[in-house]
Amino acid sequence: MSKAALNAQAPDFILDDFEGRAIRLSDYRGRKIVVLVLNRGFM
Amino acid sequence: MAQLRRDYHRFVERNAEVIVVGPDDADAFADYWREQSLPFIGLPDPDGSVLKRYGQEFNLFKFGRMPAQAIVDKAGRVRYLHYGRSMSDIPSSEQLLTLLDDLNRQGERAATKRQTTDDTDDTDILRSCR
Repeated sequence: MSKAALNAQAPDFILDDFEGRAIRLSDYRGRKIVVLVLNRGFM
Repeated sequence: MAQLRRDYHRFVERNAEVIVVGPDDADAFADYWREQSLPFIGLPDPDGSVLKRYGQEFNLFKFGRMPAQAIVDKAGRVRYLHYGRSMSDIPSSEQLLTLLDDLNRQGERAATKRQTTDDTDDTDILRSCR
């Protein structure tokens, strides 16, 4: 499992959002810049 | 999160999507999103599959993973990676928006360069036709 590194290709992922829609990072390629916010949790 | 919600339209204007990943489950995300009426994508990652790859190492002494932010450009490359040293060590929207402006400017320059290269190629083809 590769880790994200600066100026390297972003490791792709696919996860369901909380409404059940599948979100794949590479689907944004060529379309949008992605701002990823890695949260620690809501507690 | 409140700051991101307030400035979300400015991210959209800069052709960016905001995706928030967290360890909570879908129900916790749904509750939080409803309470805060957040406009961006919320990705529950209870297994930590994305958090492990994009976040930092789990730190037992700090009771878990500190927040982190990444920006992935249109070519799918990581152009910004920030690991918070504390819960409040989070870049401001302004910092992120400035980075997006830089990326968009670079993107435009790259597109112009491609255009110029294409034109040159056309001329070469024309020349070889003659």
